[in-house]
Amino acid sequence: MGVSSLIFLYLPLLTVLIFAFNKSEDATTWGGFSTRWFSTILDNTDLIRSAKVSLSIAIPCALIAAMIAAGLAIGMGRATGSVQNVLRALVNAPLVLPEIVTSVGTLAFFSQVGIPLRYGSLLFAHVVMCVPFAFLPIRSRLRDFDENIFEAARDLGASSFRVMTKISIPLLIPALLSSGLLSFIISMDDFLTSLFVSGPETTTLPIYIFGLLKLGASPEVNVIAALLLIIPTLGLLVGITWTATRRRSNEARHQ
Amino acid sequence: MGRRKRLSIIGVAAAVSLLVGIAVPQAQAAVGYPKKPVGTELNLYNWSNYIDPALLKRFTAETGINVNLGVYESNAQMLAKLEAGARGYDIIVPTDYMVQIMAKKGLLQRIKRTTFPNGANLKAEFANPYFDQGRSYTIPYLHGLTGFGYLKDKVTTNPTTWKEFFAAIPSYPGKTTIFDDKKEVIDAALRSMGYKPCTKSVVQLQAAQDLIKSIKPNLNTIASSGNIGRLSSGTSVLLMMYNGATYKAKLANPNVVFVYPKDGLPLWQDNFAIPVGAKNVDNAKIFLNWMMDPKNIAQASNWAGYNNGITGSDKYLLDAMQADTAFTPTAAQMSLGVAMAPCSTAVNDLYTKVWTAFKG
Amino acid sequence: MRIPVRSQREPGIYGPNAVSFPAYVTGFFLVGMPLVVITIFSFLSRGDFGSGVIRKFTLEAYRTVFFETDLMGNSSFNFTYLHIIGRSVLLAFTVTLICLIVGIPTAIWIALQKKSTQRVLIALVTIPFWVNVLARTYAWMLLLSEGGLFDKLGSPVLLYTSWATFIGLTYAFLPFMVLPIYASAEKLDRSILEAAFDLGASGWRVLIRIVIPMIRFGIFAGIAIVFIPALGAYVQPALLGGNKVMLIGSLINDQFGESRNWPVGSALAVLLLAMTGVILLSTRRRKLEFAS
Repeated sequence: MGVSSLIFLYLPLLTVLIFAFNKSEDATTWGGFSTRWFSTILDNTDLIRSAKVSLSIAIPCALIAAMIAAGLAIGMGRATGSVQNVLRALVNAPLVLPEIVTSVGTLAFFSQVGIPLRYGSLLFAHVVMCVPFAFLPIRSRLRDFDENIFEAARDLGASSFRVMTKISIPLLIPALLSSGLLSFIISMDDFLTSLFVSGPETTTLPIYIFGLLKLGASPEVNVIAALLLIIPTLGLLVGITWTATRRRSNEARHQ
Repeated sequence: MGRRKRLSIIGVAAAVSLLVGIAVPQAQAAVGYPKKPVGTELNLYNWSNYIDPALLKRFTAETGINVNLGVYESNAQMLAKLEAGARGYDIIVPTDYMVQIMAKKGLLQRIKRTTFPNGANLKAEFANPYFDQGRSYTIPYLHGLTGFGYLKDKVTTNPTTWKEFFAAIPSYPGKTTIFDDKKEVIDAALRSMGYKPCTKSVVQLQAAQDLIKSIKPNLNTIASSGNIGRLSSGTSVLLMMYNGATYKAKLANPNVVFVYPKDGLPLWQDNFAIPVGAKNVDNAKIFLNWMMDPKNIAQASNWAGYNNGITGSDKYLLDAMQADTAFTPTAAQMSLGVAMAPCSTAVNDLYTKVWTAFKG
Repeated sequence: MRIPVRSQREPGIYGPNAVSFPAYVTGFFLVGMPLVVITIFSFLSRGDFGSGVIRKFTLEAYRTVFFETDLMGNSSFNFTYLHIIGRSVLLAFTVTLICLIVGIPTAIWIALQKKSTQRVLIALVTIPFWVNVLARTYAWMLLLSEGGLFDKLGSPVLLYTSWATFIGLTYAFLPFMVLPIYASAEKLDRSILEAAFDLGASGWRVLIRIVIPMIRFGIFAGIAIVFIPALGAYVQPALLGGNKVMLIGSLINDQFGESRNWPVGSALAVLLLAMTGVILLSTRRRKLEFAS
C-alpha cells in the first residue's frame, strides 16, 4: 500500500516533467523529445516580471515572518494566561482556517480601513500567513532545549534581554533558517490570498500561472509547471543532504 | 553598533518603507498631452489574451515605457477588483455598458482627447457612442460580436440561431462550452426564446434559467477564455464564441465556422479608459495616443481578429482577415447585432439569481 | 513570600516579553480584525450597484443564504446555496475518508521501516507539498484530459467532471494526512505489537484494537488538516471541475468578485468559519479527554 501511495504521488509529477520536453505543439499529446519550449519562456516578460514580484514579496516575508515568530516564541516564555492563549490562537489561526476565509477577511479589512491593494498590503498579508508556519520549528526547538539552562542564567542574574541575545537567539539559528525557508516557500506558492489582495503591480507568479492555466494546456505551461517542480525539489534535496551531512559530522565529532 | 540599535533601525526602516509603499502620493499629472513619458511604467489591466504581446514590446521599444499587464475575465471582475481597493491601474479596458456604469460612479478620468496628436483619428460611427458622448473618457479599442462557433465536420446540423445552438448542445455531451459571463449567457438564452435582454419579466427569466440549467450537464467547462484552443483542437465542437476568437481558431482549423445567430446577438465595443487613481497618467495618455495610430491599432486587430474604430487602419489590416465573414460581417449579419446596454440594478439582481441558481 | 501561581507568566525565561508584541499586534490586526470585519459585513447591506457595503444593519445576507425568493417571489429554503454547502461538505468528507484509507496504512508502513529508510520515505512524501498546488493540479489536467494518459488507458475523459475535482483534492491533501499520522505512528511501541501477535491476534485485530487507538491524535490532526482546507477549496474545482460545480470556495470568490455581493460572501465565509470551528473543537475535545 505504501509503495502504491508513493506511485500515486509521483506519477503526476513525472508526467509534468516528461511533458515539458514534448516536441508537439499540442500540449497533451506526446510528439517526441525536444527542449524547444524552454527557450520560449525566457522571452515571456510577463512571466519573468511575475516571478520577480513573487521573489520581492517572498524574501522580505521570510525574514519578517521568521523574526516575528521568533519574537513570539521568545517573548511568550511559558505563559499560559487566557489573554496569551487567545492571542496565540489568533496568530496560529491562518494555519487552521481555510484560506478563502482569511483572504476575503483580509480584503474586507483593508477596504474598510482604506488601505489600497499595493505591495505593502500584499506583503503584510503574506507575513501574517507565514508567521504560524515559521512559528512551528522555532517553538519546538526552544522546547527541546533543557530549560535548566535558561533558569540557571536567570538565577545568575542575567536580564531577560541578555538571555535572549546570548542564549535563545544563538540556539534558534538552525530553527530560524527552517522558519525562513518554510515562509519563503509558503509565500512563493501562495495563490488564494494573493489573488484577492493583489493590485496593479503585484501580479505574483501563481496568479500569472493560474491565468495561463485557464487558457488550457500549452507547451509553455508544461515547461513552467516542470520548473515549479524541479526548483523546489532541487532546493529540498540540497537542504536534506546538507542537514544530513551536518548531522553526520556532528555525530562524528561526538564519537 | 549594538544589536539592539541595529534591530530598531531596521525595524523603523521597514515600517517606513511599508508605509510609503501603502500610501504613496499621486504625482501631479500633466494637463493635456504630456511632452514625454514620466517614469518607465504603465499598468495595463486588460481582458485575458486580448492584446498582442509583440505590440506591447514595440510600444516599449518606441516609447521606453514598460507595460505591466494584469488580466481579468469579465467586466464585473474588473469592476470588483477596482472597487475592492486595487488603485493604481493606469489603463483598463471596459466594454460599452461598463463604461457608462463606471463613468456614473466617477471611476473614470476625463481624457482631453483633442490635445492628443492622434486624437482625431476616430471613425465617424465610433465618435459619439451612447456610453461616452464625445469620447471624453475613452478611446475605442476593438469591437466585435458574441455568437457561437462550431466544427462543421463534427456538428452537421448547421445551427443558425441561438435556439438551435441550445437545442444542439445535448447531442454533444462533454464537448460544449459557454461563457463564464452571466450577462452574455442569460441574454443568449433569452434571445433563443424570442425574448429581449434586460427583460423585467420573471416568467421569461425563469424560462431562461430552466433552459441553461437543462443544458448544463452537457457542458465540459464554463469559461470565457481558452476557447480558441478548445475549438481548434476539437475539445469542444460547439461553443459560445466571440467572432474574432473564432477567426483565430479558424486559422488553426479550417473546419471552424462562426455563426451570427439570426435571433439576434450582442454588438460590443471595448475601450481604453484611465481609471481614477491611476499612477502613471502621462504614460497612459501616451499609450492611448499610440493606440490611435492606424498602424498600431491595425496590428492589434490583425492579432486579435477584431475590427477597430480608428480611421486609416483599414489599409494595414490583413487581406485574408478582411475577407473572412468572422471579421467582416455582411450587411445582413451586421443588422442582427444589437448594441449592449446596461440593465437596471433590479434586473441585474434577477440575473444574479438566475446565474447563481445555474452555477450552483 | 509569594508563592508563584501556576498560571502566572514566567517573564523573560527566553527573552523579554516585549519581543512577542509584534506577533500579537499582527495577529490582532491582520487575523482577528479581518474575521471581525467579515462578520460585521455579513450583517450589513450591499452598496449601490453592488459595490462594497453600506452601514445599514440587515439580515438580508443570511436570508439570501438560507431562504431564497425564487424569481416568482416564492420564498422557500434556498436549495441553491444549501446544495452548494452540502456538496462541499460531502466532497470534503469523501476526500478526507479516502485520504484516511490510503494514508493510515502508508504512514504505518513507513513507521515500520528502518530509521534511515523512514527519513527517506518521509522526504519523498513531503516533496509534493513543496511543489506549487497549481503545478500539481495542472499535472492532473494533463493526465485526465482528452488524449491524456488516462484516456489512452481506456478510462472515460475525466477532466471537467466532479471526479477530476475529487482526484485533484485527494492528491493535494494526501501528504497532509500521512505526515501527522506518521508522527504518531513512529512513537508506537513495537513491543506491544509483538506481544499482541505472540498472543495470537490477527493483523486486523492488532490494527483496529491497538494501533489505531494509539495513533488517534495523528489521525485527528490529519482529519482537521485535510477536511478544513478541502471544504474551502477553490483551485481544483475551477481548473479540474470545469468551473461548473460550485463549491463554497468558488461561491465566496464569486460573491466577492463577479457578483459583487460582499454581505452574502461574508455570510458564507462566516458559515464556513463556524463549520471550521465545529471541526476544530470536536477534534480537540478528544485530546483533552485522553489527557485527563
